Amino acid sequence: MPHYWGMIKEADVGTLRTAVQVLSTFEGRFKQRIADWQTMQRNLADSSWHGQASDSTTTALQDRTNQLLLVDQFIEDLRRMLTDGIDNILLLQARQQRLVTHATGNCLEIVAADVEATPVVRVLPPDPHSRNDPEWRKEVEAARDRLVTDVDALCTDARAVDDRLAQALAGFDYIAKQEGDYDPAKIAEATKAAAELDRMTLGGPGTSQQPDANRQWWDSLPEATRQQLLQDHPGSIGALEGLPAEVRDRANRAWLPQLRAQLTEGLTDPYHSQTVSQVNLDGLNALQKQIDTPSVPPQLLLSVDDPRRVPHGPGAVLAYGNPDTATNIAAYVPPRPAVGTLPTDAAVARGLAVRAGKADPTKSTATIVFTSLVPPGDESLTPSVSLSPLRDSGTFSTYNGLRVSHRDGTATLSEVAAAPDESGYLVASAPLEATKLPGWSFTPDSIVARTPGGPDGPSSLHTAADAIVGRH
Amino acid sequence: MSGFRVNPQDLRNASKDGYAVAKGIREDWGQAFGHRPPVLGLPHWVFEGAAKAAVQDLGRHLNEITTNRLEQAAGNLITMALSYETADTGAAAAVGGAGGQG
Repeated sequence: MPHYWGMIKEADVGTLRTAVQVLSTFEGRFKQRIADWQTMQRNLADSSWHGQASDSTTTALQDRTNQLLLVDQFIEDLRRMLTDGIDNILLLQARQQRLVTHATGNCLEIVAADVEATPVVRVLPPDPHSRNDPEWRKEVEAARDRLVTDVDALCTDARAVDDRLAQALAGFDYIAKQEGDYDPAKIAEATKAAAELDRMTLGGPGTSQQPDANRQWWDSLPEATRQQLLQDHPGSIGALEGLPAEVRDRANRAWLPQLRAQLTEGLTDPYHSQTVSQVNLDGLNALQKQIDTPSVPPQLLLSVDDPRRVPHGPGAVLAYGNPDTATNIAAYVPPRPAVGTLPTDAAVARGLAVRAGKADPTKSTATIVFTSLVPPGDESLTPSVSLSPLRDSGTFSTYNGLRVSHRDGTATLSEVAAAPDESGYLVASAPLEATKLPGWSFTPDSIVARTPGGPDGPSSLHTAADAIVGRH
Repeated sequence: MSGFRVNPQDLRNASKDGYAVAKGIREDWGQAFGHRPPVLGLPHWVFEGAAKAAVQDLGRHLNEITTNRLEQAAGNLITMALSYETADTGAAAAVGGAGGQG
């Protein structure tokens, strides 16, 4: 019986990847066949034929179309599960490689004679200097014990992944009847299982609430694995706080069209039970239009909420300039963010970045802006008090994530937000490093400037930009 | 001139298009996995067996849906076209007969 240590080591996902690509090509063609069937249906409906026989035929043909849509979902679910299989093995291999490297760096060696052998962690012969050092011996044995635990954990996780995938794939056995009818309820179960597997694929190493762990995990992955995850799970990668801003931008830009397509499908497919609305789709379409607009400095999509996953009105965070390489990072908090004000809010943030760049050309400034993708009136995205805006819905974790993704963590963080009495705007500043303290937030002491109006006014923009670059 | 509000050719066209969809799906699947069993390349992993079974299951059911659902519908359209044509011919003959008698 093979051991998971050897199986991870020997796994060559190339063949499985080829199979997924073949399935994916077939999926594309199948969608075209469904479109052809629907064209035939439309042509017949548009012909001169009408009456009872025509009505019955229309119903019968639509029934076939619905069956084809269910098969399409079957294919998509199967492809996602197999893709998760690939990604899970790649992640397990990356973990295994880390353990091997860690062993080498600690005078240890993980040995397994063949694929069936249980791995053994051995202490390598000490160098002459350490040979008679009891402390060295003690330390290396403690490291060995920890490594044994880690190796066991890896193999246990591999087994869990394997069992989970096998169980989900086995669910396909009963979703079709012999005569070719597909059962919507069974397809829905498979779809749920596929979504759950997708979620769990990246669920282990980190979550959006742990930017340090996320970054550490990302940095530990081989480049090829990162690229594969970006391709397979752009939505999950784009949501991980702490990952480099450019990585998140790339992931979110890939994810947004997919998300819009899924929501569109959810609004039109009779078998999709997701609770989505046209308002959600309109918000994402507006965001797509915004990020497709050329910008100087470059515009990065740091995050985008999936309306199906957030308990509040969905929003997005945009950046102007790369916050990871900036000396000054400024966050603009619009007073009443809404989908209709998205272009204006984005323009204000961009304007702040440009003006701050002119105020101090020797240092780079990047701005970010918290936007809303819903119509006005969503209180959860309408900050009523400055310096504590949107705190519960992501601002704090965004700042903490930027601290982790920043190249050296030494930037200054500013926030530009409406004063509580709405008399103008306040600019607060703090070292980016401060955001790592539990419960950190801007305090009244951190206010460095007040502006008479919104930062879109020329004199206010000037004051705010000066404050952002440290001229008070 | 047909005595019915249908041109049987529309039904024939729809039938032809329907058969073409079924044939296309079969050919696509044949190109994908149909001529050989799926090879996933991870023989020791438990999920590989389940994955292979799911791919085979998909192929089997694609065959069923094309035969029992799509081709059956396309066949029914032809049957209807024929019945309209037969009825039309019968009606024309009846009209012709009546004319001959008159």
